[in-house]
Amino acid sequence: METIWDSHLNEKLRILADAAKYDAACTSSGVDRKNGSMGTGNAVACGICHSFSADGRCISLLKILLTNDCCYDCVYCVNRVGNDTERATFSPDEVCTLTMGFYRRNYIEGLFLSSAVYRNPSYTMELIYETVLRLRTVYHFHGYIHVKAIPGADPQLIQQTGFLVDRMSCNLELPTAEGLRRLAPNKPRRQLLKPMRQIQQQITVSKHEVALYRHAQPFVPAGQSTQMIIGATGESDYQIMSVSEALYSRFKMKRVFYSAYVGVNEDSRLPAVGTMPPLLREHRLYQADWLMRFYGFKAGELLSERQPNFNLLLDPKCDWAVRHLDVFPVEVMTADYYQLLRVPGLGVNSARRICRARRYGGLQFEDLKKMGVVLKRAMYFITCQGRVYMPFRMDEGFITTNLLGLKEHLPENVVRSGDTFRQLNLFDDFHLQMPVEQEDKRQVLTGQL
Amino acid sequence: MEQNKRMRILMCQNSTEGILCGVYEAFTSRYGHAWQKLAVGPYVNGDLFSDIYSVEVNTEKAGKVVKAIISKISEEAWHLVHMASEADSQEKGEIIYRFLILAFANGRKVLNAMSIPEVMGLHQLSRSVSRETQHLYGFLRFQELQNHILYARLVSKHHVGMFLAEHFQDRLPMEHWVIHDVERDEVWIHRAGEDWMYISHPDFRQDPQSMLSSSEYTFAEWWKTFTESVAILERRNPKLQMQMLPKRYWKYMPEMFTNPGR
Repeated sequence: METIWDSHLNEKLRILADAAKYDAACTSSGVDRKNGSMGTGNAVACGICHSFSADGRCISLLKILLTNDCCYDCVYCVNRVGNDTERATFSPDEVCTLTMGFYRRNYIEGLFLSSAVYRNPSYTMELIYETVLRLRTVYHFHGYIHVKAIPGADPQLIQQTGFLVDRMSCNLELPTAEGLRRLAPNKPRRQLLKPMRQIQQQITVSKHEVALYRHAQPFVPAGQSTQMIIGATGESDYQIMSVSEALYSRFKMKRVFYSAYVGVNEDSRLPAVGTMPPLLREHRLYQADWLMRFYGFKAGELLSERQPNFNLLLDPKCDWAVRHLDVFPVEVMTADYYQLLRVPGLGVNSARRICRARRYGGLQFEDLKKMGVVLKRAMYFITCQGRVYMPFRMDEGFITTNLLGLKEHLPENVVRSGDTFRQLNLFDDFHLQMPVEQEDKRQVLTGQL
Repeated sequence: MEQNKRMRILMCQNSTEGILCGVYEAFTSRYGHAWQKLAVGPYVNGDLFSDIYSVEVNTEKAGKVVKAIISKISEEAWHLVHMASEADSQEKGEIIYRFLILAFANGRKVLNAMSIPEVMGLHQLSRSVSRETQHLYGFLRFQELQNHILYARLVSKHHVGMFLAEHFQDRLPMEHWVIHDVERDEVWIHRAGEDWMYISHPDFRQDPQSMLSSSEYTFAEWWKTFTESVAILERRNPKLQMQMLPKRYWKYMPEMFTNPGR
């Protein structure tokens, strides 16, 4: 009897994990919670990766759908009502058994529960709420829980759920309202933004309460996140980055995820099935996202109406730096933290280390290297106690050529799929930046470029 | 007379306590820092011009050094020294000793002086230990035994069992669990609701692998199913997977060991 149940659950797990895999968010970060010697589990602010799947993405949470039985008909989605796919639904107890069993064995950091819209939004949200409530109160689970807020659900339900979980997210799906109208007729943009706004306001209120009262229950302490599909519709990178910037500033998002569109449905409104997902573009968007969140860049600095897309050959920071040679070189010993952050080849860690170390004594280029600065990139943009690393021509074309010559450390899959990409785009992209020089023409002829 | 002075090598036990005792001896001997070296046992390569002294482990002396580090330098310094002292390195004793000479003289600010080789060396050592610890927080796998005890086998480059025990003490306080460092043959045992204990060279009456609970296989199977279906095949990328999850951790991870090369 038990073995039948086992294989039955195995089958459900296969279907519902498969259906959840396109959600990019799998982070378990943002909240530090001690266990307090009751029940099972705690949460660590930096997050913990427990495994890595065959596509090289981190597995931190048990990422599943409660059900993939959907009543909506979004064109880009595998689970749309018109698709002939296997359907399955977990019972709350099954989700709890899996979560607890996996957590005790240290397979996972917590649960990421999402769901297709089953019957109607409120009904689905209630199922999610029941599952989470059971996990927290009956199974005494104190680990990380991330759930989806279902747009259109009763605000009361979203609020109750928010007090039980660490993170909530509500996917924006597509960057523009126009795209949504075309591809997701059941999800008007207004309806998607409503729960986001509600969660944001509730978080603000709760932060205030937690500061005042010792026993106040925190609401979504790890903040909310959202996700956009990239490459299914024709938005430019500039539009996408402006949307994320607005989400970060106006909705106080913790993270915006970008998910390169993987063709699953045959439809005239979508890229054909079998098109490679635009991984390099996704990678550039993440890089730019990082620049906005930790490096103090604005979307308008990185891109503009005139240059609406990222240079696929050069990472956004290098790209920005060669276009703004007037602010360089910066002196490592005196430049402030935010100036240092703008130097290609310097990251948050190395900039911090420099700020700490230079108070104690003069720094040499060798010291910078030990602190994790990538000199082959940074050398064009910094001076160390007035000295440059080696003499070079301070000229946009020269530096761009040299930076392009460096092999950028891209994630493996990006390089693989980008190879053909690279050749196709070389001339278009490259010469957006600079006029063709005599030198280049010669190099092309001799095959050096 | 200085010319006739011979180099002393203080050989200490390979543990945090052992190294701290070595430091204690080196500072209290008044023989001169330039004439002493700290080496980690059990074997030391001596030479014709130096004498080898082996240092006894003494908890009280080690405690004094810890107290001195915390009060005269900082908590952070103690954290770094502790991490570094568990590293898999022959030079760790010497690195810690040289760092402490500098740090006791200059106080807490010395931690920021990353351009000084002694300080940088300590930072690098402790960073590599803490990186492996962080990895194993995630990659360690427990198996359930018949009597509901959770049993984990650990293989690690650095000696990180204690840090893991601390972590799981808070994470699974109401479980009985055992972390077994297979290569060093040590265990950290935790009873529900109590503090963990350390035992070296444990005497298992029965091989834990023969006592797995009946549901253990099922859960491992489910986990494998999950990890397989959550991967997006269009983005398949074994190299990245290998880079993020190095092969030396694979041995006891159920999702990895039946299908190597995936």
